[in-house]
Amino acid sequence: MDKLHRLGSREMLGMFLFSAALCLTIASAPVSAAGTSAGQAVTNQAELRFRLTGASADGLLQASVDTLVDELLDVVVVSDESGPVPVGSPSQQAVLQYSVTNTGNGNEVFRLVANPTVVGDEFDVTNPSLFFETNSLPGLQTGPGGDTPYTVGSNDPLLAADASLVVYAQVDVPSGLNGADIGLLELRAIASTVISNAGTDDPDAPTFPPVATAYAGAGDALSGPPVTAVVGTTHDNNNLLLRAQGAVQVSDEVLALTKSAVSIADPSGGATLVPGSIVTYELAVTVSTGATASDITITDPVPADLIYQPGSLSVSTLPAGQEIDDDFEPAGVDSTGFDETTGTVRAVLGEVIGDGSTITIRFQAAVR
Amino acid sequence: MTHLNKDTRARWHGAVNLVLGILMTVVATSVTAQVEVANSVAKVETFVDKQGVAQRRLVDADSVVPGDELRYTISFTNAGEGQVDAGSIVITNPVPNSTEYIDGTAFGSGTEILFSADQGVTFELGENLKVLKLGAEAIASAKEYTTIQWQFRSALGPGETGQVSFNVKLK
Repeated sequence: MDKLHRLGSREMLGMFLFSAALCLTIASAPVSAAGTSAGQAVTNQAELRFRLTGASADGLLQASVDTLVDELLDVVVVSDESGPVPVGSPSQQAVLQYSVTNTGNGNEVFRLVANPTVVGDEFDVTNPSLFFETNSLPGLQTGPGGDTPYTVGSNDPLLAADASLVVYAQVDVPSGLNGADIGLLELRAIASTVISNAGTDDPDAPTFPPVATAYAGAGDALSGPPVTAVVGTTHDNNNLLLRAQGAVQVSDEVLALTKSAVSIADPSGGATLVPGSIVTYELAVTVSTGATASDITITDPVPADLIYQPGSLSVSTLPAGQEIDDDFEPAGVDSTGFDETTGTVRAVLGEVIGDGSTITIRFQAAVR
Repeated sequence: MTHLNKDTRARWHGAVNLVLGILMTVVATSVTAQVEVANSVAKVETFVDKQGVAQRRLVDADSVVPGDELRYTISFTNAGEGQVDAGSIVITNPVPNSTEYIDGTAFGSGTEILFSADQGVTFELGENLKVLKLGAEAIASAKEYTTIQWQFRSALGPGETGQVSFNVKLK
């Protein structure tokens, strides 16, 4: 989701600089390697030499013992947001990004659960829906050619040992909230082996298994017959690494900055993402009623795998006397356009007096 | 009892019996029934006792996962009627695949314990074992040990036994 850089204090309604970053930094959590694969044999072989009294040569004996490695069930969920995502009240389809990593040592299917009713926040986000990053374009794109919607129990993701999956949660925010209010969304990933054996996907349920619980024959060996599955330390109830919280925060002055890909058009008239496909992006900025924000600048770096389409930038409401094109000339009049030297879309909105309406910024980019 | 021929080494590569016991022990016996050796594994488990103190105990190694600590024990017996020469018993054990040796865990009463960091080409006391790091010699760390060797000092008379052990962490 978009990164927000704020300059100036809320009281001063000072200068704002938003960076609606297309290129997201995918936070990589410090996740340890999964370790020896489930089903692998560990062999210890000892050799003993000796000489019998009077013998002319040494005797040599060997003895070995094999140990089969079981499947460790471990998963780590992290929020990829660097801080609360600013939202309006109300607002729709705010996006939070998470990463789910199988830190166990076997293939495992995980159920994902988005839970808005957690303690420690001022409100609950509503209508959470989850998506998998599947179209290789950073950020959430919905609709045809976009990322894959997730339905619990129908397309639970299979993750190999050490594999990660980027998951987006799209949430709505109720109306009537106060500025700075926080809403938390917890995402948890539960191994299907745990669910089928413990009968719950809720770590707070009494039947949720403690660390080191073993399920004989339920473990996935990468080769050979099934092994035992063992519940790993990410299930420790005092430090549940299998769940993480992302936050949205109601912003006092600028109630919403959202970005979405509104359409994808491929060269053959379809809606798939292939080289040459044109993606139309929309940024929506809303300043709260009664508030005044001055010196708003929106910047949006276009990632390397996309080519900005010259002349495609439009802004629904520009400050009086301002023009758009991509040469930033003359200075002071044309401050909005695509800056080729930095590969960034820039829109200078100046002072905006909030009336609840939305300023819409659109541009197009082609897939390389 | 069978008398030893001058060249019976080949026959000492004796039968290997797989004993699927609690500790998954494998026993190798010389065909002349002079010396027997067994290799077994157990898991070192940490638990909290009733006083709230962390303790360690050995349990079956029938379920191990990455991060677990294992103890390997090599036992040997002079099952024959002849004497085994003093200083002749040498046990050599490569650190198993997918594991790393845990510093200070190699044990063997009456033995000198040597380590190798080059798959058993050279052995040294741990404090003398050097490896090349960035072109300079440095003392090898326990994780770099590839092979462990125990040299048993005493003779082993009929019916006498010995035992050595070491611990590893499953990677």
